[in-house]
Amino acid sequence: MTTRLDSDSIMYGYLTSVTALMTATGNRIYGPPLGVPAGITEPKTFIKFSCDGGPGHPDIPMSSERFSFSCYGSKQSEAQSVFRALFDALHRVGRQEVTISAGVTALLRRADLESGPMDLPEPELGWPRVVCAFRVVFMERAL
Amino acid sequence: MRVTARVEVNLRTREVKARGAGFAQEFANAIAEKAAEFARRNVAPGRGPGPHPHRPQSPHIDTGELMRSIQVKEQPMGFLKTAIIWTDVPYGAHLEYGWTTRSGTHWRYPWCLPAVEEARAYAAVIARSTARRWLSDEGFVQAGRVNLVAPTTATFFPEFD
Repeated sequence: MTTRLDSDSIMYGYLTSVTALMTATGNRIYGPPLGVPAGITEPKTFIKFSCDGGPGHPDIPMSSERFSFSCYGSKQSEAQSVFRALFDALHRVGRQEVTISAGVTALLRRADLESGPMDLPEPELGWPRVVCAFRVVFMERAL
Repeated sequence: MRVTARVEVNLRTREVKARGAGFAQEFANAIAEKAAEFARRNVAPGRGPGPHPHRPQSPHIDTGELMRSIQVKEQPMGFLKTAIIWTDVPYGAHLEYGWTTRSGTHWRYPWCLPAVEEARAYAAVIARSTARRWLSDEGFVQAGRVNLVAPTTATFFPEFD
């Protein structure tokens, strides 16, 4: 049985390969298991994501999983710009080969915006935030 | 000699279209109601996450406001029949998508999406029971096994064997 690839690693590998997105976020894209670094103590442009899970295909090694994203910025408009960069990078993207580590390449087959964008500032911190979720279909094993 | 009847269903028949639309809308509504039922259960006082669970000494009490606010509304969109489950309580979205505390911990209690996913498991059963009402023979005048007022055209012809 082949090893199932980690969903978060595939997403992280893909997002960090998109130059425009890295520029928009200042190279700040954070996901599990590390999350947002403790050094970030004030709102700035960054993306935080996590995989919510989803069904796999019974016959072929493909998964359809949902990812939640929080796009931050120092202002709400900046958070919206980060969302826009994420949307441009991910929505309706098809057949992307993603290198997640040396010699391990994953196939991101399709991604679509599933919910959002919604302006939802952090209730405790007051940080501007836009939340959204994408449905992503990818191959569970390496190419 | 036996007499057989061939029933032709014309999908362009007005009644079929009307019934199909009715079925689709009722099906969407039923799934949404089921999802709302699960969602209300997810946030019911004593079963949900409780108020400000990340603050053990929180003075807030679990009022059940979110549970009571969850509603279902049908929302036909042309040929697409949809129903929505919704709440206008502001913290419903925060619970669903999560929030970050000053210590940096991210808290999250999704209640809506898991409810919808759970309701999806009932889709086949609901589809069957809904279809029985909208698309079955019940309640129609029949000749043999053929509905006389069904949205179909029936042709009788003799068959020899």
